[in-house]
Amino acid sequence: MATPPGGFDVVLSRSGKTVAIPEGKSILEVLEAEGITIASSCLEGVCGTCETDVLEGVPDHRDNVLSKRERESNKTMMICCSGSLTPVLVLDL
Amino acid sequence: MITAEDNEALVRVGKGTVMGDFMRQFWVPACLSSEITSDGDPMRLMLLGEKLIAFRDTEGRVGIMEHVCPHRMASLFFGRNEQGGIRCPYHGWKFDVNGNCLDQPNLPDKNKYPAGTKAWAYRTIEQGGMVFVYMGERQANPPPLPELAPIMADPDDRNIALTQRDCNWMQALEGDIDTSHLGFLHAGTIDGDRLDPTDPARFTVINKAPTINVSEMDFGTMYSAQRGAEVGFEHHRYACYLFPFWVTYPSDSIERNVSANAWVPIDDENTMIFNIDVQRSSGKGRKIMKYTDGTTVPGLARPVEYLPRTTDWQGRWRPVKNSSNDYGLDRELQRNGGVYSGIIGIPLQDQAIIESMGPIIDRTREHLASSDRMVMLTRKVMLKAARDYRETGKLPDFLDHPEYARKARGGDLVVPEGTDWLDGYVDAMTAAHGPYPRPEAAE
Repeated sequence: MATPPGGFDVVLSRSGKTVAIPEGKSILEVLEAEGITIASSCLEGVCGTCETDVLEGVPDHRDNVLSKRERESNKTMMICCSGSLTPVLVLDL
Repeated sequence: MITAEDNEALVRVGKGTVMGDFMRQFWVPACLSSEITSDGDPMRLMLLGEKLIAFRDTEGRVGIMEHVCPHRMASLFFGRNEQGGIRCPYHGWKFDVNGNCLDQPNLPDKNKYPAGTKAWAYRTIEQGGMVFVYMGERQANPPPLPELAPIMADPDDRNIALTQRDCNWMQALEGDIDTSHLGFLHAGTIDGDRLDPTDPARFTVINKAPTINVSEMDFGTMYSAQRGAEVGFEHHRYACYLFPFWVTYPSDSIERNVSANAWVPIDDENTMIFNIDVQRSSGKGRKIMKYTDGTTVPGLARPVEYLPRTTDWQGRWRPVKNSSNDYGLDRELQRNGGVYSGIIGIPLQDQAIIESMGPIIDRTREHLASSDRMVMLTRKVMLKAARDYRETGKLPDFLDHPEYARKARGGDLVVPEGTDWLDGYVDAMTAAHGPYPRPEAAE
């Protein structure tokens, strides 16, 4: 597994909470450490279980699930392995 | 995996549950029209965990109501279906198909309830050879039936196959949108080199690891399983999920296929499958699969053979081959007979595998893969819709837009390489049926 791409903030739209994702950590592992339960399985971007809707920001897609069209839409991402190209990502969580 | 809380929300369908309350706002297939006859025997019917009675009155109208008499709670199963209503055999109270009380003959006139006492009846409608029941809040003003091509067709019992499956409805439905099992459970030992090279079904046999395209739709969800075809072409196999339990599954080319399954909960642990394929009786649909040398591909045949019917709550449409006899599993057929599962017939192969998971899957323990994207998306879309209804009272627009269902078909299609999967679908449907509404992907 590649080094997770941390170094940005994630805003959880439903609670309004902001969570910093440090270098070397994935969004999923930071959120789970915060006590937020998210469905996941492979942790390597091959299964698609952790697919999450993106409301704002541009993900840095590193998975093998999404089609080219889905990647370019920037509306969804796999939070186990993908990062952010913008300083903040707002997720539908 | 999903959380235990999400799993519970998905699978439970009794009154007061998240999914059960949501599902009740849609028309539910109840039985075949032919299962109840004018002034014939009242039929025990369990739907969404509710014990109901179904009967057809002297004029042919259908009544579906709670099975107990509102007087002293005796079961109307024992009732007399006579002269425009069902009469409780205990004290003779009589009810019409709408639950109106027509008679209270054990009471002196001055003691009869002025307006009678209503039985707990639901709205019903007949369409396409089936009886539908509406168990939702809008009893005075129920929504229209979805305009699914298979149920809009002329009624013909030969096109409709009911089967009870002994497991939760969602588990059964997920089996219908799990497309990559096709190349194994049903076609694992079919020899693709011996099939007609122009038969699009061949690609599903020779390429067993399709890419899955998925999208949320205004009627539910949709996928295509994408595979390479001849040089320069791609094969797509489409199917749709429509709220709350319909799947338009692929059983022929996209232009010809008119089929659907309704996965109707009997209760939390039992499901009635309504399988409709309007090509079945005419013989215009897919022919029995044959190799180019004329021999029949083994192991695929319908129909299912049923146990004798009983009047039990779960006494209808039960297969002879079931868990008690391992579905007729033949190990020799599995080893050397060209049938991957060793079980004869696609419906029974599915029945065996889905029931083998147990009555309700513990989805916290599974390991879904990219082949399961349609399953994942459909769960998510379903849960969101059901929870939105619970929290805000809002239902999907589809409920009052039955025409959305016209866009939702399944089937096989071969398109030039690089064609967008939804564009290919719309072009093929337009060519076959005239201008076609584009399914709006919600991605």
